[in-house]
Amino acid sequence: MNKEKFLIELREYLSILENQEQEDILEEYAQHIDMKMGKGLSEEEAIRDFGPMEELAAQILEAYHVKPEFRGRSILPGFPKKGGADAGESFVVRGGKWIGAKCMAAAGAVENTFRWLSRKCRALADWLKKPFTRNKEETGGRMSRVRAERTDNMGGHAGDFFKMVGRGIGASWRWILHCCVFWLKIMWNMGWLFFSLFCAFMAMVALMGIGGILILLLQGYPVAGILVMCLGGFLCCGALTCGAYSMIIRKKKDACEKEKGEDREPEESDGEVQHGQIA
Amino acid sequence: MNPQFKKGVLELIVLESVRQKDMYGYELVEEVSQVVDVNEGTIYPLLKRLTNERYFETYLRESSEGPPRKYYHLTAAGVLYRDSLAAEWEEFQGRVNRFLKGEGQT
Repeated sequence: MNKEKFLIELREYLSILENQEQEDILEEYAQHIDMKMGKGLSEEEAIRDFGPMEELAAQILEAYHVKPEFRGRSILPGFPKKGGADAGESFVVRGGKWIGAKCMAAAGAVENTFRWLSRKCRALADWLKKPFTRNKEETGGRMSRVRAERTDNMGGHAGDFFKMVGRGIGASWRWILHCCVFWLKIMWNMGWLFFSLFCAFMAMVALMGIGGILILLLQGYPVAGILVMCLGGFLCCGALTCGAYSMIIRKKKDACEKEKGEDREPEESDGEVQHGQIA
Repeated sequence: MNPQFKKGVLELIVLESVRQKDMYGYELVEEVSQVVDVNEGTIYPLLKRLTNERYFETYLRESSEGPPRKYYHLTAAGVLYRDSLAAEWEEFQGRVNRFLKGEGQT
């Protein structure tokens, strides 16, 4: 084995180390061999004095607290003892597998994150809906009970004709009531909407005022009190805007309940028909 | 000579050699080889380790023949380490000697 070959092989053993460290240590060995040769030894003899390459490499790695046996499992492309092409191929395959595994892991993490987010969003939505849904169930239940009592009384002492007339009047009355409620609801919503818009506008005005007064204040005018007033006005108007808007939303929910209540009508009319047959 | 014996004392010999005089690698190997018959290749990893542990400093100096040589210099920490190793060695070999001469243990 000549010097070049020795250094190349040793470098492969030490490939786990940083390039600078490899250079450092290989330079020492190269110089050592040169010195030996200067003393009249042959290249072969000088290298033979180092003993087996594996032991030498193991001792060097030990100085860096690296496990010498790690080299055996390391991914050295073209590691000479295993046969260059084979080792290179397995390296490529292993690299591909590693990249694939990492990609899958990353995709899984992203998927999990989104799943978690959607779960949280649904939980939040449920939590927000809870008060309304509970109210709806309660009111719905009460309404159906009241109506059932009323139909009982009606069925008790009226003939078919009266019943028909009563039903017609009831239906038209309910329709009128429904229209009234609908218009009332619209008026209510519009009122709150305009009020919230007005409050939002006032808040904007107050915000603008704050900006202007802040500039005046910085220029030295005694307007600190007005600034605080404007700030208060802004906060107040902002709060009123939110409050008015929340009123609109609640009314909408109520409207939904009413519609649900209307849906129950067919069942009730069935009940009336059965009563009529019995009578 | 038992290689395990050598391995243990080698560090102390290297430290002592560099303490006497700054040396470059090959010079040091020759010096150490005069004391113990050691595989020349094993000195360099030892130098590397002692340098990494800050017991040695290195510097380059031009030589009349060939490329510049890397000289090793013992640091203050290296001196302390050398002294502690020497004390350990003294005690160790003293005990072993006493035991071998049949004087019993301390």
